[in-house]
Amino acid sequence: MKKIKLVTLLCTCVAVFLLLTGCAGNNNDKTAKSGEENSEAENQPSEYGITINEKDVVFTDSRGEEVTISKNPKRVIVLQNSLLEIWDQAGGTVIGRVDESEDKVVENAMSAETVGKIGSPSLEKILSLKPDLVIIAGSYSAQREMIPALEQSDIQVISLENNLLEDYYKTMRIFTAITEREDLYESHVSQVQKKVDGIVAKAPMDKNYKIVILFATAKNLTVRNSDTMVGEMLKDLNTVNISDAADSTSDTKTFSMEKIIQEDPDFIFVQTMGSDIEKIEEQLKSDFEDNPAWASLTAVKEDRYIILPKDLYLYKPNQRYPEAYEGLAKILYPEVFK
Amino acid sequence: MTLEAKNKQINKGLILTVFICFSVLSFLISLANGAVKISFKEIIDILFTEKFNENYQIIWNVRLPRTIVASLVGTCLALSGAILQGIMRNPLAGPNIIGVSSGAGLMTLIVLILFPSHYYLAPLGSFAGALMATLFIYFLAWKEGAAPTRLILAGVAVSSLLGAGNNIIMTFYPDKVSGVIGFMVGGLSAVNWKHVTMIWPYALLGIILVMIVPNRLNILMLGDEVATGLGLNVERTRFLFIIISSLLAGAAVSVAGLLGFVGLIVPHITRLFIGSDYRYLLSATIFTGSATVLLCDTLARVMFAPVEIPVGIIMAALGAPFFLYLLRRKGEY
Repeated sequence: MKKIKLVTLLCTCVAVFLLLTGCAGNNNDKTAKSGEENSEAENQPSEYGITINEKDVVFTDSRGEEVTISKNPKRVIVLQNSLLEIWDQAGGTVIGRVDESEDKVVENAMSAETVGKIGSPSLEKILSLKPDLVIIAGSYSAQREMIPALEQSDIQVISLENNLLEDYYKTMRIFTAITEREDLYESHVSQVQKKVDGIVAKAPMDKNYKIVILFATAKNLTVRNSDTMVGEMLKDLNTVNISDAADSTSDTKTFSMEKIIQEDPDFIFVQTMGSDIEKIEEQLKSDFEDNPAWASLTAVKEDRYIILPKDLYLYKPNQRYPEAYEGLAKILYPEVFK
Repeated sequence: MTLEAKNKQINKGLILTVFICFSVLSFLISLANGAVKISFKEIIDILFTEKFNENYQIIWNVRLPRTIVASLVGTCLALSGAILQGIMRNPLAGPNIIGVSSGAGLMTLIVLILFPSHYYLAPLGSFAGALMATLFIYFLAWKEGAAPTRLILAGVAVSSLLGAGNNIIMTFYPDKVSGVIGFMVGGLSAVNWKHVTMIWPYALLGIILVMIVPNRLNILMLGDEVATGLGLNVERTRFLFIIISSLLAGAAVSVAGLLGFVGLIVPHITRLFIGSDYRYLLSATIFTGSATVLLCDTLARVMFAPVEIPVGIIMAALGAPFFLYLLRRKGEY
């Protein structure tokens, strides 16, 4: 009897544990996205699985559902500033937006009504503006939860995630198709693509610098691997991310300091939520130098730890991707990129 | 002293010795295991002769301080919980009940999310938050003395109030929360020697306390009236203990994040083995607390190395079933 109880308890604890670790890995379906699914459309050739018809655009959004969106909507609300920026560049106008963040101000949209904060937009406010189309950021649960209510009111919804460069291309493709501004697609995306490809092509293949991306908080040693925005850029620039070797699906994870010392990265990149770069730099410097474990690293000794500015490397750079790539390339290969 | 009582005393001494050995063993296990495999012989070499290679850095500047901090955090939290359960005469009392977790949590969120440029103030903030919440609860519960029931109710109310504050911040800044989750579940991933210096004075305070006051706790356990009758200034003693518990837990939380579980469960586990006599219970808690955190943290580091899991998760996932098992087996409550 006692044994049975013990076994039951052990099973429960294992089950709970698996459940918990399982949850940690769930947020990473971003990598298996778009790109490959190029299919020839009926009416026009399309990329990223987008079919552009005469009156509407058909594609799969971040919910994994196929949506059909009418072209040239009149009343549009965009619930994320980074998506708003792309919508604006695609020639779209809005009647509603979320509160602006200091690092992403879209001038043309400033006169639009605000419908709340990104994490808690007001459904009533949105409905009262009577939009035809609402573009939501699929990574926010509060926004996802509004979808059924919006659709019940016959409002079209697009749910998007803008994480990687590829997402920017795809979003731009969708938006310009909806606004029927093929010219803007050409001028923006082709430009960005050409510049980024140019920078990547120039990056030396033989250096194979080891890098690590830290997310600066006082409490945890969190690293980001190549499935993240900055991680992908650095990978494109022929560096080796030491946290990639770790077998984990989560894109932000707590990492072992021991492993960092063993790998001894050539560059340390630091992402931060703070605005005052100089102050953070000062603090980080003293943190690194006071802590003998960090101070022993080559990257710290040779002053190769870099705090990445928020506007390009925390928020999505969108049309400034070339600038973001170039910034990293200059840090990694000053001899090639002057 | 009767023979029986004497036997009991020897028995308890024996259990205490086992706990001490267990805790020392856990310390060694923690030191010997990590994401990077280093042989035991090399570890001994590193500890006793200085050679400045990469493994020296790993052992001396990463693993050793982390092991020390884990053991001190365990000691502080478990002692804090044991003391609170005594003075409140309530088995559900723990650092959470005097607002340590909610106070520290809110202050940390405020610092990390609203003033991210000053992230280095977070440990200080959580310590201050813990203390302020405790004082606030005590103040609210005061009515010609702070009766345990009123303290606990005030604690629950203030904790949910501060919890609402946490949720407000998390709702308004969901994009910034990811950096803070590590604190909420508790972890020791970025620990270094600086944290050792932050926490050892409090651990020492706790240990000294254990030497001088267990009798007072035993008296308090008899009830306020009896304790007053025996010449104890109940209010003053209780206030003193509350502040000390808050200091102990606050120090631990500011270093390791919200590991509330240790303070609640470890004293109970210890009690199931050694009984409720505070003369033994408090000293035993020092060792069971440190062993618990040490073993769980080792597991957290090794399980999916080089990725780490927050130690708080391990502790809850393994500790709760173990506690339930003990509870069912002994049937003492």
